[in-house]
Amino acid sequence: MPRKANGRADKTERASDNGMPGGAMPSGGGQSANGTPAGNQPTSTSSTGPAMSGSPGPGGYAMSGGGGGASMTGGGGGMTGGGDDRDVEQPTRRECGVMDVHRRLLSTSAEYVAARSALENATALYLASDQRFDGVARIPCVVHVVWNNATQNISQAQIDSQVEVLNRDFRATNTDIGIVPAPFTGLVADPRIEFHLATTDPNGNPTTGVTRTQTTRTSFSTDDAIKSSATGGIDPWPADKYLNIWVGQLGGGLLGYAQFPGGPAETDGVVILHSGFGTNGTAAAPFDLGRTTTHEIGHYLNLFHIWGDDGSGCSGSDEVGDTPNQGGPNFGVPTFPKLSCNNGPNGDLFVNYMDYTDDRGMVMFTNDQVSRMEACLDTVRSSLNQGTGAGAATPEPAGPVVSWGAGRLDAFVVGTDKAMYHKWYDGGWGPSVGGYEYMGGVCMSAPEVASWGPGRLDAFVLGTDHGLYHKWYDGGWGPSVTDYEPLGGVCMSPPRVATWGPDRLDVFVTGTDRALHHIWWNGTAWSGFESLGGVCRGEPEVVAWGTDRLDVFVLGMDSAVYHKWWDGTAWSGFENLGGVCVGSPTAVSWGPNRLDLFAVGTDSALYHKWYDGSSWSADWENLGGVCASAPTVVSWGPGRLDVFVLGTDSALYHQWWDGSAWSAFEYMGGVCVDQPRVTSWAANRLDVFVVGTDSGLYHKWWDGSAWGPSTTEYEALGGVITDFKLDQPAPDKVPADLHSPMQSSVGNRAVMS
Amino acid sequence: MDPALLDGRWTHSSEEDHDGVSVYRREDFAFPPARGRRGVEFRPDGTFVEWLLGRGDAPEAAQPGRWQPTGTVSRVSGAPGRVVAATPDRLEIAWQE
Repeated sequence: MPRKANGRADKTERASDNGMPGGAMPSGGGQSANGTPAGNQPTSTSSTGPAMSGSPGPGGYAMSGGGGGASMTGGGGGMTGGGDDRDVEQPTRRECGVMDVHRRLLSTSAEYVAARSALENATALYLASDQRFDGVARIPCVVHVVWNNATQNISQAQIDSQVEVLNRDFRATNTDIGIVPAPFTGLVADPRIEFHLATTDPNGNPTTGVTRTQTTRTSFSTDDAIKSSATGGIDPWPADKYLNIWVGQLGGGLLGYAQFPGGPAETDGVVILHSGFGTNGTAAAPFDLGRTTTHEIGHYLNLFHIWGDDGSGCSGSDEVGDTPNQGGPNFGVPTFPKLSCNNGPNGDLFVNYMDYTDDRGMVMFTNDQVSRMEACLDTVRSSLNQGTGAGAATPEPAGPVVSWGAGRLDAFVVGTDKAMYHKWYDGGWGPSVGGYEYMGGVCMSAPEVASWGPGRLDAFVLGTDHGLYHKWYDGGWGPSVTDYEPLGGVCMSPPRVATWGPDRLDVFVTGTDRALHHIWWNGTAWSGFESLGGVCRGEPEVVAWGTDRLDVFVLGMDSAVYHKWWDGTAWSGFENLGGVCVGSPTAVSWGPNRLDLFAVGTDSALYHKWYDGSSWSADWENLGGVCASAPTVVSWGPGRLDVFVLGTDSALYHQWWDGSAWSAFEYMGGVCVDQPRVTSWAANRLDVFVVGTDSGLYHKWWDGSAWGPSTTEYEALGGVITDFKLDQPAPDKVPADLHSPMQSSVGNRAVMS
Repeated sequence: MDPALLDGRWTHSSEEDHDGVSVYRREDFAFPPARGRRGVEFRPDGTFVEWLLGRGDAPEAAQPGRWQPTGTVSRVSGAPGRVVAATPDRLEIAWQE
């Protein structure tokens, strides 16, 4: 592998702590190295589930032939989507004075217009799919106190009181919710969003989640000066990880203002008048119940004013279905019913947080407002969510192809020189459609790559010494583009990686003792190898459904699947999930407390077993087919599974679960070798990569409405590849005449036959 | 009325409204906090800008209208108005609606 490993650095590195024999990863004879811990993994075939042989799939599921007949046909959708909203650039600075943030951006930033438009489309798609994340979203906050006189330097108690209000209002547990007039009580909804002051700062250090900055400015306006150190305020913490809340003295009687999702990161967040913040200290009636912050965070999560922002007219909309049409804002505390726009008999929903009443008059969000906020948290603001909900709460699965965010793909392969090569998509393919970035090394396994956040990649391979090697991308490659960090060990399986949160990596391999071994990065340092016991066939499979949770699956010597999990406190023993599998299982989680396992049985049919939070399905479900490759599966959201396998005709087949039923196998064309790879950067988005018989890498994508380039065609991405290993030099490295097999098929029309 | 007195930005001091007249104050006035305050702006080139309640609670400029040195104001949306009193720190407009 890495040249470094085979050269001078090798010996010295091997001498270090994690080095092999005799290191923390035993090659035999070590603690529980051979055999199973306390008999948790029996070697008999007394499976709890039925064996998977002898039950061939129904004829209707057979994967031969080209029909398919599924509905996902249509013209090729382009990949020219809007890209990552967070990447929208700051427009030229405010020549127009104190213009509204939203309007200013709409009028000055084409990117913002596109981002907002894309966001509304994504929201509509999300709502149409009727998804709701399970569990509770948790948002880390930083409160930036910007003060000119000591009174404005509000107390920790005042800050804490505001967080408490948010955690009641966004859980519908506020004690004043009883003032909702009876006709409206059915609209009251729990957004299931919780807030906490950040405990880790952007540098990874412990923090109170509060910054305090003294300023010479006596007050701030809506020009965002409070959001920059250069203008008397304080810069935000990274807006993709923290909700930034600036608190200070505002002029003109302004209580607060917010930036909608899709705007520039440099100004993302909410701004609140100190005397409208929290419930004690400087908070003053009638804005002393913390509702200004609730209202502004509503905007931050994509809610519009309930009257539709058209002055006092009846044509504006808040894009929310279950709120009554309403003329203009309500002030003070109205008396029921308050009529406008012929909305009798019940009139305006003036008790809503997105109206303009006094704090004691606004007490609820509606069901459809909650859906909009959830859509926001599952799409454009998904990186904020540290909770147990879906979206960012279900970590991005690792593999040779990953996506760190909407509009981004990173694919890794190995060339015939055994070096690693990389290409990426960020609106167009880099370094070119058919080209690859050379990343050095001498790799004995296909790259396994994880991403714990936007702009972050961690790649793992085995070296010629069977040691584990690592490299990372955080804006540039470490240790360098072509060097690797040796992590030691003698690994008998390719590494499998999971990340359950920022700056966390968990790598699993089998050792020479065939036991499962684990090494992890805790944000500061690598652990040594930890033996988890067992006797494994093939490579392990690992998935993380949320923070501090790992589920590992291995194939036992009896060909049954065994399961071991980390619950945040301790490792379980091995749980026998039965089955008789011909290869390692593939696992996916669409959210907390959900696991879906796929494996090919001895009859070559696809089998499925799932955990629903309380128990495993009793049997392995036979999904039919005759599989010629291991399955690859991805979930873009709760209740959704997309499985890809090759058929005996070497074509790609696709089967999906839509939350209520399995589709038939969809024929997707091609003549492929090796297991397909798939990733999903957002709901309703799939990117599938296969290797053709010409050993080139091919790509197709589902954009929410159609497959591109078409249901059965592929985009050629160059290379000469087997199993995501290039068997000839990468295109960038070979003479032009060798390009021709690929070059001729560039143009999105190549069919792999 | 001296038209030069009108120049610049004014914020609605709704608490002082009286007799169908809207009262405006300069930015440095000690306004009590409010969910939203509209405003007006008189520009030297005769442009009149009404500042509305913005989508994210910051003021938002309406399509610009015109103002005359006589104190009459026209808007693209909304009835015309007339400045009925102006001092350096206080402005009164009677809107014909």
